[in-house]
Amino acid sequence: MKRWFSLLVVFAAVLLQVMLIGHFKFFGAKPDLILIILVIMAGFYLFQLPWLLTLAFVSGILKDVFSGNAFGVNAVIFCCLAVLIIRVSRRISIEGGLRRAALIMAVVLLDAIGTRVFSMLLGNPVSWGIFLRIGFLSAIYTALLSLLIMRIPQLRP
Amino acid sequence: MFAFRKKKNLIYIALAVVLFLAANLTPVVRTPVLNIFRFPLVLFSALGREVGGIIFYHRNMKENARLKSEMDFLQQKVVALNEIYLENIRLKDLLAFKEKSSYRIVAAARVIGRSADNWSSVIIIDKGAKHGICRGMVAMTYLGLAGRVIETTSFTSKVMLINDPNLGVSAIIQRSRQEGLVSGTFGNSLILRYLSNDADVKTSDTVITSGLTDVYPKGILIGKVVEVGEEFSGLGRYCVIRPAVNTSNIEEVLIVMP
Repeated sequence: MKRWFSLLVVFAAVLLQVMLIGHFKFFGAKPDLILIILVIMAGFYLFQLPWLLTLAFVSGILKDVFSGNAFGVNAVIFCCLAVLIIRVSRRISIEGGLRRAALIMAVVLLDAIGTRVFSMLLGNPVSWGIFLRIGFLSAIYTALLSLLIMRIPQLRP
Repeated sequence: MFAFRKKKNLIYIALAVVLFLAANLTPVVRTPVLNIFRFPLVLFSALGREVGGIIFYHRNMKENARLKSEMDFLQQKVVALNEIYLENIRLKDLLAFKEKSSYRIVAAARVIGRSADNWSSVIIIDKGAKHGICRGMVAMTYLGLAGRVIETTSFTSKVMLINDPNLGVSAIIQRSRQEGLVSGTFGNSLILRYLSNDADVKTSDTVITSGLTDVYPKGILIGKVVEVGEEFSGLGRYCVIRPAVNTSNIEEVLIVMP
């Protein structure tokens, strides 16, 4: 995949997330399309680390722009996740739809934990009940959506 | 040869004329005749249609394709008109509310986006600082309280919805005037907390903004109590509230001065 195309895909994912995905909430949780795209870029396309960090930073900043949390939280978490995904994908095989979905589920859970840690540090954490409900539901929902998205031919590695 | 002068022939002609008139003018005769002729007529017309269909197959096929595309176009138009009709109803309600309400309304805005993450409940509206919107203003619909403006740019604003746990609204039960704090759960319900153990609260009680702080005007409808429970600590009670505004499908909001 060309670099400019990967950037375009990230922008498209952000637009879809803001305009469309919000309508498909399930018990308050919605899938994270931006995170799916990041995992696909990091885990399957094996971009060089500097470009991947740029992609993660851009998508994180865009997510921050369209959310109500403290600005920059997602940018930091996404960069950390990108590095983590690259390391994981070099050590274990992530071939096959279910393995990829499992990886995406784990990444969404880590993202939720990261956000929770940041919100605790900033003094406004959500309650444990809400955190567990949204965290697990969004992880499962995102993993299921990723199985569909990875069928798009243009996104296949 | 046929001779008109013969009496026998004249009688035949007279009988034929009478029968013809009777068949045409009297329904008693005409109806059974038509009923009898119905079957061959239907059969022959169907045959004729089939034969015509085969002969004009190409022309019919083209016409069919044209009509199908026309139908698709008209169906799209019907959907679009239906959407405009529904929007019209919503805007009429909003306008009626705007004219009747005593709140100082700054602008009416359309929702153009929703929060990108799961950890905040935010909408983005198409009006900003250029339209007089400032941080801290209240967002509502004609149904009740929707949220609060947390960020503005020149042409857009970000509104935190009432189902976000980070937004606290000082509220009272309209009937018993019990005070509490409403916060969100990211779902379709809100929680009214910090009620005392002997608080007079029942299901289907109406919850409104208290006006104790300058943040929200007094008396804006928040929702109705659907469940009353006791806090885990045992120090107080809480209520689950169904919000008057369905936060998942807001399309237009009014921005009000606090």
